[in-house]
Amino acid sequence: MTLSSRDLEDIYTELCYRMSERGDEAIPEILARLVLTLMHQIDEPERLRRAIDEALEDYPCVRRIERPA
Amino acid sequence: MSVEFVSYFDYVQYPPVLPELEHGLDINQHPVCIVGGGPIGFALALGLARYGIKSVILESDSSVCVGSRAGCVTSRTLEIFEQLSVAAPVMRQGLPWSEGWSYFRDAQILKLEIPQDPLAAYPRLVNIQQCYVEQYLLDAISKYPDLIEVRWQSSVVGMKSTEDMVELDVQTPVGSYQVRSDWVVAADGAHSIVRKSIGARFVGTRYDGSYVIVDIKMASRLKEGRRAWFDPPSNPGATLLMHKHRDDLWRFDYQLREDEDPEEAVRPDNVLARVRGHLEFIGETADWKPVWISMYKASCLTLEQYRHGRVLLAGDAAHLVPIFGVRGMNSGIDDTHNLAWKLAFVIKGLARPKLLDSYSDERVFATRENMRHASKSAEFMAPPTKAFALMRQAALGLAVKHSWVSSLVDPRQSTAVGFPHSPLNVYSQESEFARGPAPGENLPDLVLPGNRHLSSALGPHFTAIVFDDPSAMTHALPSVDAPTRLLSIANSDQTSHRFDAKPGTTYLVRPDGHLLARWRRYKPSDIATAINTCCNGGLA
Repeated sequence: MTLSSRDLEDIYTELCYRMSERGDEAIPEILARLVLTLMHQIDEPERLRRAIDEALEDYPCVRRIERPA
Repeated sequence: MSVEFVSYFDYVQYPPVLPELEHGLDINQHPVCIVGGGPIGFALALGLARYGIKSVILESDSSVCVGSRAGCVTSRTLEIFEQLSVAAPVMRQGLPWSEGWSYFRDAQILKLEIPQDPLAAYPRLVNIQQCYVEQYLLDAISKYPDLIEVRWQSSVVGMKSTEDMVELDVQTPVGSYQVRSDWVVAADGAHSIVRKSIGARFVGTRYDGSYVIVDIKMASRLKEGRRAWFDPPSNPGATLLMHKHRDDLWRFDYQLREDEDPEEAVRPDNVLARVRGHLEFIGETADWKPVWISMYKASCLTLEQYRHGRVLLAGDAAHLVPIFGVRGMNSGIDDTHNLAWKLAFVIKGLARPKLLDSYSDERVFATRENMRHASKSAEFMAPPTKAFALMRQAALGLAVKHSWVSSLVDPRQSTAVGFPHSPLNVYSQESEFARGPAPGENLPDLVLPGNRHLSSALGPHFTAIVFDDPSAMTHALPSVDAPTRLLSIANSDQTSHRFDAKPGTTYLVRPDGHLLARWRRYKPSDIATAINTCCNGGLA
């Protein structure tokens, strides 16, 4: 199930307006809170992982961060 | 500014002693030399002594450690300590706790309730300063004067290992000497000289964040438990933990911000100002005095092998896990319990040296499991990158109003690790069991008649637990060299629930309390095969 184009446009615009009203400084944290809330609501790990992959797609890795062994 | 520190523990200073030497060489070649006289070295020596194996402990310091350090023991450690006759004093001095409170600034975001097992012999978590743990282990060691020798102020400065033995170079204030040993166990901590000598390298992650640890003496009325603050006014932009111990001792762990100079920050007047600021913030008015200050950096590091020929590594010498979740000393004690019986059986000719490879396989697996949990806690407590910091800030902000975020804030306290992939596990009738511990897992506890616990009925031998089969006791024990005992337990709701026990169900338990195999019917030949396979180091 995906969002209709109209809903997508409406919610996209609403988010932009409402984040702008909170001030530029707050925007990264608001987006991070939104991501966490959506993670909680979507409850499908594979879908979330695919979404993360898509979001990262245009950003090449600039440094390797070592994971715990 | 001069700061007055107080003490609550009488430290005995032990003199260096030279063994009898011939041309600078200890006249005795020892079965086991343990490098490092801390909790891990002491626990291993006691573990070996239960099997009649002699050991020499070489410790560079002159007394037990100073400071609270590894300040919390788990129920698993207490079960092991019971086997070493150390649990009773630890429980007398220790402070059990089962609650925690996490705060974002001044808002509570998590009330932690650590579930207790009603059938377990010990509480899940008990706070106790490490100096007491070391002292009680040392007291127990003094009961084995013929089996355990502790050589204080004896620093190992070099090591040479061959196929047949290991030679150690030892320096003391009264002279240097060499000592030969059939086996060497490195329990000499994070900066292990043994690890360096064999050229073994840690793999994993070192986190950048630094923590200051402060012990203070303060007669506070605050309840015992874990208190964690994120971004409190007393330590803005960072975290702070507070824990109560007996002796009116309070332990603070606080994170330094990236912009702080660690050397400047650890100066006593700066440290104490921050403690004072935090006590004011929480409204604590009791008088207090500092006891001890130290510094800490979180790491998730392990060797890929804990056995290198005749050299075995345990505790911080083999792995370093972040302090969050109390997996440091506790996992080291688990190492010793896994290693003691295997090394003893090999020395006594009851098992092939290959059995020692399973020590490495199992405990490396345990370390990786511990790291999986501890790294998540460490990354939340001290975010290593901007991305971690941003997401944590978002999580903490949401946690004030939304309880679903609490799993991210949860400190993930240590639990016993099983070995589902151990080469020693014997699988034969697993499909017939709906529940209960599978091979490799730790045995859950039970209350037995006479108010004894199952965990305390296990001993330095294999134990075949036969449920509800009165005739079992008349069966012959299997014909194996390794010490084996039969334990008959009447069935009950407890045994049915925890072990899926039916009349004749048999669980075969290793000397370290991990399950080796289980069957629906008691058959001495099955037990003998499983024990022999185990002592051979598992299936080829």
